[in-house]
Amino acid sequence: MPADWSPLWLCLRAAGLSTAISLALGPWLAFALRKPPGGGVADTLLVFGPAVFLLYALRAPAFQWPMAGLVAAAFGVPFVMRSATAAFAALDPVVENAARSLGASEWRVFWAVSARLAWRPIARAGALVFAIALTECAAALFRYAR
Amino acid sequence: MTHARLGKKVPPSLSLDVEFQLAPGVTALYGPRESGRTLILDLLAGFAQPDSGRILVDDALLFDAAARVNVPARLRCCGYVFQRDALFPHLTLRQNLAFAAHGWPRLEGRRRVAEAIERFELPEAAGDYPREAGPDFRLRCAAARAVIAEPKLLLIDECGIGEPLLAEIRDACPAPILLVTRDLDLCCSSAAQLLVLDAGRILQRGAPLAVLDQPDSIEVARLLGIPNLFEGSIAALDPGRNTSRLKFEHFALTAPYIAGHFRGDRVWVAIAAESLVVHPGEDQAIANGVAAPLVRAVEKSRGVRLEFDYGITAEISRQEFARQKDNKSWQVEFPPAALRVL
Repeated sequence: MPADWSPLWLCLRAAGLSTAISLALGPWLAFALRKPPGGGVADTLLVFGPAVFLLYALRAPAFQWPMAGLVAAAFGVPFVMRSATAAFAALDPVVENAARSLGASEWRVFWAVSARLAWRPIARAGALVFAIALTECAAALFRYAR
Repeated sequence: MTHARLGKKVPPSLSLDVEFQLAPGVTALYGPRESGRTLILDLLAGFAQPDSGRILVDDALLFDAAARVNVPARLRCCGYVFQRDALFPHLTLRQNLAFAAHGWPRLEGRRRVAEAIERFELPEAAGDYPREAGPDFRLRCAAARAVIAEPKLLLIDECGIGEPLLAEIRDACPAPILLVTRDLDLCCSSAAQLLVLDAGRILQRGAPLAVLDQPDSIEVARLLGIPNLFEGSIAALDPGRNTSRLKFEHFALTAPYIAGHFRGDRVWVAIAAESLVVHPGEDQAIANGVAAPLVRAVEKSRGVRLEFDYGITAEISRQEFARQKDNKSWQVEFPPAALRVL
């Protein structure tokens, strides 16, 4: 019997989508919410994320990779947020203030300064989100396997 | 007009309450650590919010506690040269300058960056990242970056800036400059106004030389590093001869007449170490001289510091010290004109 690779492509697509959403939203949310009580938001979402995924895996009538990707992002976004919050907290605030004193908007401070300086921990979190989403999707596929 | 009235309590002990006006040119903010110097700059720049007060920069209202106006830092047009290195570490010095020139059209921005590199002598380091450039280049780049955006108020924290660089900044930036420093020589050479700050209060303000010449209070004299401060009482007052006689614990001095005081009043007297004149003790008694044993002589960059008993400190040139170093005993002359009654 020839090997059927389609489940792997499905999982890769879903994991890629969730990683993309997590990396697009996570750092910016972490930057915008880093002042208290924003830090608690990531932790709360982190608790609910896997539960949402489990609920989807158990309740959805059929496996659709975009939906699986979105649901995995519910876990991925707060995961990246948490890493990014720690990375931004480790940055010297003087450097960001220097950018503000030069007339930079918060978006520019984030994009041109903070994200550039804190990209390593954010990328690490993104890689981890990809790996976790891949395994979760694989696990969810068992439910629909014949 | 640039004017600020700032009130802020910072636990546990600092209570800032200052009001000052800044004219174009350099105003020096002189004070010890923890006196609120950097806090004043942060409040002006918008990185911290005052509890009360008002900030007006170039006639634009930036903060008013009563009217609940608080313009964000990015719209305040306040250049800031930080105490610590605040260059963007992931950008070269040229890119750091280009970041500041972002608001200008592209060609104009490039022209300004090139001009700043030229003016602040950065050509050989322009392509280096801050970690590769020397501290002098980094400081000059930070100054150039603050100036390039044409700030309406330039704030310079204590960052080891020297007189030539400050002169360069002053030429490039017509706005008022508020400089935090502990360097009195820099204040005298570059600043038009000196604000003496202690524990969140401005104790004295005025032209640097005038403040140094006549401190208002014993606290200011101490902050300015005047070593000879003596507390005594007025033994005699003679308005006719324009003299007064002051009695201290170990000696007595003649000083100019002190208006507004009575005999027996306690006063503090200050005299700069350089104003004292030392003589060999074997010479005949000198008018307004005090015979005091020498405790130790300390070599300084500009001369020799002689520390006598009774808390008297004099500074003399090396040549003068070489001439007198074998003295068996010493007399210290207090020129009456140099005595300052606080």
